[in-house]
Amino acid sequence: MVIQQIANGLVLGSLYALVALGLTIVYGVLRVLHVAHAGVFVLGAYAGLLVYVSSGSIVLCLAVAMLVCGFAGFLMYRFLYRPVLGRPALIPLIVSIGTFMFLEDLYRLVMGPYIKALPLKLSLPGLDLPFLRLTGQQLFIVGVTALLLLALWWLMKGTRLGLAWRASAQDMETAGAHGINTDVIVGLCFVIGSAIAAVAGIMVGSYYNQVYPSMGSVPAYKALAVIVLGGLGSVPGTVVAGLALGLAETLTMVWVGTILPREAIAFLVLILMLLVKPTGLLGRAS
Amino acid sequence: MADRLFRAEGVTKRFGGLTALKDVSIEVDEGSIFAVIGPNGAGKTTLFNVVSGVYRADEGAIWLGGSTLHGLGTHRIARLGVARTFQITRLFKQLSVMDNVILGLGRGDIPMGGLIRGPRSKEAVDKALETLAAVGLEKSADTKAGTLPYGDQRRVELARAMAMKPRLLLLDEPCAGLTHHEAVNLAEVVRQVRDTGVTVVLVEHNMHVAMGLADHVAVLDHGEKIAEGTPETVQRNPLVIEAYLGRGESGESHA
Repeated sequence: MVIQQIANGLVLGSLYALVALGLTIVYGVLRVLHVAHAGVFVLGAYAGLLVYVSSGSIVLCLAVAMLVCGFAGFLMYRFLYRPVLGRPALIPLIVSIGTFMFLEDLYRLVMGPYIKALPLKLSLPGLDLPFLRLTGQQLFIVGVTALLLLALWWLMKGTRLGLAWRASAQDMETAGAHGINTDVIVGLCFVIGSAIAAVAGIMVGSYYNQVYPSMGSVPAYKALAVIVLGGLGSVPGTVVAGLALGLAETLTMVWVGTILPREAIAFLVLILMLLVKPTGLLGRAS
Repeated sequence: MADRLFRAEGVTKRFGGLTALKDVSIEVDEGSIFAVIGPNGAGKTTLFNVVSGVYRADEGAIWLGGSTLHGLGTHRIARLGVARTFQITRLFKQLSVMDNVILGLGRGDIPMGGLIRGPRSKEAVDKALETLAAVGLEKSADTKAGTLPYGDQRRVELARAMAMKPRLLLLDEPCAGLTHHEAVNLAEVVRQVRDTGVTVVLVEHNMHVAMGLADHVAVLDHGEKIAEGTPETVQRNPLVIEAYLGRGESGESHA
């Protein structure tokens, strides 16, 4: 029972971590809260839905959604954020919130206000042990999250891009003075973060079998809680915080019951955490 | 006479109503050490920021060899061969000393296709170690840069700039915050750098450091160049003495 709930919590937590990763990457290098990231997440769900319905291929569905969202992320950086960089932090934030609202209504106009099903047919076997039962879909979510995390870890730690990214995140001007084209680095952060959001959108859409225009609203503020919990800008911190939140939500539901709406738990955890350690789980005091 | 490597002509930079640089021109010979001195707030660091592309000059032209630097981004200017250090050392503090220097090596050879290659090729590590050895810090290669003593951080910053194999090296108050002994050592390192063929422009608040190192000196005060020449002639210039010691009524600019 407990093991089962922990497993369920970790699956949910993987989804939170996936949604929040792009936000962390962008925050780490730009110090901008990219609220419109949740809009990209919904775009990924819709793109995946359209491709899946017409092709029936999960690989194609993921690949196309990642490409579409990566490109959308690049456009957002180039035409929305870049023009207002260097202004007070409130201005990119307002741009971001406005973009998110615009996107939600755009989806409503184009795709209709109704909930659409995204029944990914996975031919994966589930796990069926006496004490633990996981569906093929749950295993798929955890597996894909782990794969993306490994890829990201390699990118950050094992490549020139990662080194340039870490340098730019610490000091953009000095990175530029050493020949790093920070504009390209930041653009790539948006592309990579948005491609991960596409995967998250498809995973969430298929997990609940629901895709709808405002499906990004709850993830938008939960992802915010997750990246603050993780210590703004820390990739490992975000993953740990996402998993912790998934666990906290699931276990509270089981042990405490529904006194609190599930959505409130994220912020309860956040408040408790910030009281104890204001820099977040793996954050550094700057 | 040696070739001119660097020229700034009539450079003016304003911030709102404040003119930080007014019609400043300097020419630097290849292989020389050129010092820009002046009291605090004279525009020395602004000049560096304009040359390295952090700020864009409102008027004037800046040339390195045959290429204009005006209006280029910082990374383009760096790749053309301009390296710099900062008045207050700006290492990537969370990265190792080695990674800092490897980032310096990247000039021009991080093409898009190379971004996903590993940063620590044997060649890069060897070069980085060699550069660190030149400033006497090869033993600290794996230390996190931010944990080094300040004097060592300055030397890492210099090594990182040297790793770029620059044609022009801009040093912003290289001896600030150092003990006398450390400053003397650093001055020696700067001379060695010059002897490898790198042209050095340094900004110095401390006249003695600048006079001891430089072949040629320009003096800025309130954003204007008030004197230029060899250290000996500049030292005797009454305008310079006045700029440093004041003349009773401050705030007026010199003609």
